[in-house]
Amino acid sequence: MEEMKTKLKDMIIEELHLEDLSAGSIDDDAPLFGEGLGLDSLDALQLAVAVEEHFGVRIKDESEGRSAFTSVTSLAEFIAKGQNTPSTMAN
Amino acid sequence: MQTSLPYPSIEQYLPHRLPFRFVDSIKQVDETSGEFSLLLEQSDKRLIDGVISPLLLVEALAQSAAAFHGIAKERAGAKEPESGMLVQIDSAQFLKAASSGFEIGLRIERTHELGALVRFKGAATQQDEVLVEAVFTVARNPEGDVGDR
Repeated sequence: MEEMKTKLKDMIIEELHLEDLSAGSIDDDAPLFGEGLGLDSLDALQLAVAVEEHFGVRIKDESEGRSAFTSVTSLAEFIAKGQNTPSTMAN
Repeated sequence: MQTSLPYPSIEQYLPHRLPFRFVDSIKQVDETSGEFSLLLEQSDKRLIDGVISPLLLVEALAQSAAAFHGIAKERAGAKEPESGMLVQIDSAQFLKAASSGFEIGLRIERTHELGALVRFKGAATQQDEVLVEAVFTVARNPEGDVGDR
């Protein structure tokens, strides 16, 4: 799980062009949207695309996205669950 | 079974009117993609020195995506139109200038959707050559006029 979180932080930084941040500066449980990293809905879509491309797990709707994107920890848990559940894996 | 009836006028699905409408007709629409076309005659006022800005071909793809969305909603039984706008060009490659007098094919495919945001990838082609390839994001606004967010 720790390795997954690090991968996710690197992915967030790369996909969203957050060049001023490092993986070490992103708290596992800090909000990704609003306060915390201050990401917006366009960032959420980009992250959803990146999660599918990097981990093969598709976020199927906004409700699922809100839950998964709460924090790095919640996203890691969502991906781990999705990778163990064939029905949620992207084709 | 696919109907052989022609598609309605593109103006049924777009608020854009000439000279700001950059898609002329609907060729084919299925569940996730659509094919549209644009024809620019030599005398077309949208050409500058005989050339159309490649950025306007990205706009053409975005308008095609809007028409695709309108057709999809109509097929799903929606009675009211839904507004939207192009909010981001995620990537674009401008490969070749368009020529007047030959039909430009506009192909779009919906790839991702999250909340009000929908991502498409599209390509403008002419005589089997790719002019522009782009990935872009549009924001739907089902609750009212553009800007009511």
